[in-house]
Amino acid sequence: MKALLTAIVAALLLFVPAGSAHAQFGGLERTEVKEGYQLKPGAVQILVFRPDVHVGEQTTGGMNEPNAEWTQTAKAHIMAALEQEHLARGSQLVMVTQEDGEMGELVADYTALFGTVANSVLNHKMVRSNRLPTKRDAFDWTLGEDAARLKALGGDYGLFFYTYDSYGSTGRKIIQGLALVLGGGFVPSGVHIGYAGLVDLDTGDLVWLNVDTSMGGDIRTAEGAQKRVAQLMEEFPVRAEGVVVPEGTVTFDPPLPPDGPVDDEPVVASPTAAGDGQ
Amino acid sequence: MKRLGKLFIALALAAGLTTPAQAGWRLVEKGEERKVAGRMYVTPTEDWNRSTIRPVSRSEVWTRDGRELNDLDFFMGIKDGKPLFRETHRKRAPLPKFDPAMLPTDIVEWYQDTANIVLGGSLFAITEVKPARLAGYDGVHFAFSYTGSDNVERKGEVRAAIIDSRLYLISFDAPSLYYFDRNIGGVRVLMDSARLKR
Amino acid sequence: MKQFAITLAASALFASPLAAQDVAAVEQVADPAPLPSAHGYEPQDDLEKGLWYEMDEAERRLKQSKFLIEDPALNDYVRGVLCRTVGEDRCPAARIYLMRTPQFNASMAPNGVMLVYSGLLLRMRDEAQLAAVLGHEFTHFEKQHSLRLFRNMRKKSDLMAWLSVAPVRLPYAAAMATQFAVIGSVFSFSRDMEREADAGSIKELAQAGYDPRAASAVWSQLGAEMDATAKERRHRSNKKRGGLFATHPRTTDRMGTLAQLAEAAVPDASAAETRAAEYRAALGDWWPQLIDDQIALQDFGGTEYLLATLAGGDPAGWTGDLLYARGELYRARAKEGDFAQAADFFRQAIATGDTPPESWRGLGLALMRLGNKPEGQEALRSYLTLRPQAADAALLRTMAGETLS
Repeated sequence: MKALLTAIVAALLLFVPAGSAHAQFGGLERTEVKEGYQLKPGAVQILVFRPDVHVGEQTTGGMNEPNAEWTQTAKAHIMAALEQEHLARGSQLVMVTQEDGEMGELVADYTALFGTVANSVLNHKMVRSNRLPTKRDAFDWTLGEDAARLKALGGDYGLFFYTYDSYGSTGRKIIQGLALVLGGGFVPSGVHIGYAGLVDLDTGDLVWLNVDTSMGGDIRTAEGAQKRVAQLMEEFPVRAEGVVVPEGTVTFDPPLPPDGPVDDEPVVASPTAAGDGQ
Repeated sequence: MKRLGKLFIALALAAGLTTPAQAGWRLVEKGEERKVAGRMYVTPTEDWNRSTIRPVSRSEVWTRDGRELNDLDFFMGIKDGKPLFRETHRKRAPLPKFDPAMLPTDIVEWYQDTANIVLGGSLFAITEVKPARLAGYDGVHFAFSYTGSDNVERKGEVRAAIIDSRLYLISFDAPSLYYFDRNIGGVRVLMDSARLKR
Repeated sequence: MKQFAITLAASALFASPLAAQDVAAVEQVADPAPLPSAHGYEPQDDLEKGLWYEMDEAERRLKQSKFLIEDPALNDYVRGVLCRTVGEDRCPAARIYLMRTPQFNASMAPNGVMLVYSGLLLRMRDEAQLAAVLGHEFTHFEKQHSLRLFRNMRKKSDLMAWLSVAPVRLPYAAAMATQFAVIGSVFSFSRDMEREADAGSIKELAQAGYDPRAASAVWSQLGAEMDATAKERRHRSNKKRGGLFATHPRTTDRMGTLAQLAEAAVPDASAAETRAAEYRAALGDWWPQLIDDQIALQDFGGTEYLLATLAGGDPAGWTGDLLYARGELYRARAKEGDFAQAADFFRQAIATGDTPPESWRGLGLALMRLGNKPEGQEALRSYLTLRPQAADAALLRTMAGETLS
């Protein structure tokens, strides 16, 4: 029975990498931006892939009970807040809804790859103890140049985002209090996880990723959703100053980030290296 | 509950889907010949990261961007009667064991069966098998494809040979989108560079 | 990872018919609520709406899963069997997805999504057996067992939390689950629910004109297969344990009840159909692929039992396909004497005149392991003539002593 609960809670926790990091540090909030990266000047169109929003209630036992009404309300609030946030930044959001055919498959494949890439960034960049030496000073993950095929959907950037909320029910909040008093340990009341990532579709490069496993803002309300979106969009790349390129002309070159490899630092060989003498 | 959790982690680890949280990583510099897990020497053509944790004895795990994105594994000298990975469920999900009498085709099937058991699915397919040499010994080179639990389609290649009754095997796999094509050239050169020093 | 995790979320909430354990008794629903199989049914309360919403989202992802078998003919067939079993007016409530996974399982979510694993298709001997499982599933769905279970569980877990005031650690690590999680996240229905689903499947079978004895046959086959696996691997049979991979504990009581129900429903089953030939034809080209999936699991005992079941306990039932599969099974186990046995099965397979060309490959490789290189090479050359484009043709050519071109 417990195993079953576990499976359900785990499965509903969907966002895997945030999970592992959370377990390790009890909360994680990190943003990575490609150094010096700026959006192109002028009108920017951003494709929004699968805006995943899940809201439920955490029962006293810790199980998540999905709530369709909350989810739908929250989704509407979040989308509105997101639109507003980006309009203020001078960019336009294009919702990607197409699910069928070749393009649908392409979107699915890149969405899956994005999740895996984001997972790697979390594991190997944001979790410091697990950081890869070749990535120490670089944020150079990518979906590959072929991601440009997604531009056919009508945007120059791809925004992937996801939020998962499970609100503590009253019973759970009481237990939380009791547990603290009685020394039973910390019972998290509610789970609030979110991430957002931006891909430059000209290069396929992941230029910005924000992960937060303890988000604020009650997204069931308009104000809360605005707060959440503001949090999610922290350190979102700004637009480059410059002349707006008229349509049909040659593209403007965005400022190039400093080149990738940073491995020339000497690294002390590990004493456990290579299992000599076997 | 614990059981399940453990099983998942173990399987994910064995399947190369994740990396132990405590793993440390060391830089492997390109162009320098390097001893791998005991006996074999290889010369990488690009910089890699090497995990300080080994899946089994005489093995090493390398990656460039994260194991989910490019996973280069070395198994250097698997002995008679040993499986490719550590067995997490010896009784209920035993892994096939290596036998020095195996034909080159048997090595391919053994790898495939191991992958099928570890991945628990059946989308693992061998796409090409040809004779090849590893460190100057006759062996096999094969290509495969599979879809992992993250629904990301991956491709991979393996070079293997039985030398003095032990199996030496280098395997690489990466998402079909972008990552495989970016790395496979360098990996094949690395496989070609392998040699044994006595 | 994310996308799959969502698929996972769906599967976690799927109801599987195959597990029965002690769970609190089913709450009896007194008022005649609309059945979820009714046309235009809408979820009734907040909990059901929430579950449906998550399920619908998950279904959208499921459609993109690379594990889906998309073959329209096979999908049409399975749908046809369900419709024949529960009737044309009720079957549209179910949306069937065939998953390429070698384990024996099927499940149905509260919103009507039905998962059928390819391992189930491999194990059914005839259409009536498939109908029995689909009918069983459909009953779980129509009686809203998973919904009731979710409510039940909620109460129960609340109680546990109140009693212990123990930190409920959220199992983040478990979310890294691989494909196994899907199989593992099996619902444990109560005995009453299972009884209800059993009775439901018998009723459906009888009404559809299928032989209702198929139901008890499915469970006895599965129990025997688990015994065979356990014997070879020297562990306790899975049929005796719960939890992960616990599929269907065969209780004598339950088997007896099923048989009695079948007897009562159709006293003279001689006119009832099993449609074995139709079933075999429908599986057609899929069968060799599914048996390969099974052989790859290296479950010698279980697979050996399975093959014998499919041969129907009749020496003449050993077709070229089955003999080939048996040869592959022995060759893969590679224990003492296995290569000689394997070579024998491959020879028998070839003698039937209707076997996959891979029998020649198997024969060649088995002979070479036996030290009979000339004959082995000759068999490999026969295979290469039949399948010059095989994935491993280049390697086999060198092994067969042909020069590389």
